[in-house]
Amino acid sequence: MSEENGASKSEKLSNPQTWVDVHGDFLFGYAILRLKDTSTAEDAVQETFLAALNARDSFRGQSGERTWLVSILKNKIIDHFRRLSREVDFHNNDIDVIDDDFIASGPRAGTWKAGQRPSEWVVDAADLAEQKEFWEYLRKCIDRMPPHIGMVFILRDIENMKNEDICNVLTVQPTNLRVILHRARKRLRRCLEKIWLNTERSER
Amino acid sequence: MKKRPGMSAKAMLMMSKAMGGFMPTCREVSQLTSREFDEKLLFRQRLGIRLHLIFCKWCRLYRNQLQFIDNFLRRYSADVEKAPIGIEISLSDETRDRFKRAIKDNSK
Repeated sequence: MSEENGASKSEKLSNPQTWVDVHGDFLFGYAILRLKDTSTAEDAVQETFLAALNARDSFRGQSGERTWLVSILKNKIIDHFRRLSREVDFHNNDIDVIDDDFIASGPRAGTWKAGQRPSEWVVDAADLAEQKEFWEYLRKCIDRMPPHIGMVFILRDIENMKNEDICNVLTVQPTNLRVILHRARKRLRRCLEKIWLNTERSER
Repeated sequence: MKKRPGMSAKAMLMMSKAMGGFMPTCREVSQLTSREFDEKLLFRQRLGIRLHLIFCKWCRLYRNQLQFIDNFLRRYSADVEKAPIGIEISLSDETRDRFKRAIKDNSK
């Protein structure tokens, strides 16, 4: 077995036979947050190992072995979204009409509807120690998003990809991307408020 | 923290007029809050948000919470070696064996 994190400082990769035991769970957890189902995530991890095997000679060791494997996995995930984006309607605006948080007309037009206002979050730095829990809730909330919104959110806010790169990968117009991101963040905030901070917590 | 109420319709209207239409509504502030993660806003847009936030508790909450989530995600995605950004989960033994076999078969 090689060093624990695979964060080896040497410029050499460990024996590929050890990759599954050293990095397998980490890559799987990384993939499953971003890809909906287990089998898609497993496939992405297997493809990552095989692609890494073929690209072994190009490993320069500027980053650790794990970082290198993750960068390959990232590309697999982006490829997956690129394929998926062809089957998805990025112009679907229906949901938001029903889902509007703001008053439509009258003197208070554009202000928060009474039932939709954000509530206070009681989260402090200490709560960040519970980050494991946070990822679970994050995943649940992404699962509740329509596929096109979820994809955009993952690439932008989790993968930290640039907006213009996302437009290229998913073939979306920049103005449309902006609208989708707004919806994604709005939905995520509401969802976390519901399942992470209020309801489930007070039931304990 | 100081408690400030949500903006009344009257205050909103007055501010909006005083700003010559610069004062954004809550809907617009929520849109701009999201945009600000991706691009630099115009001066008047930033000013509009600032003014709006003085009066509007809901938008202050909304904005703080979005920034909280963003900070969190950024902090944990910065360095994968140190901080896992993912679910804690284990591969099944079956899958593990399948991967090992695949690596072995392709190692030749």
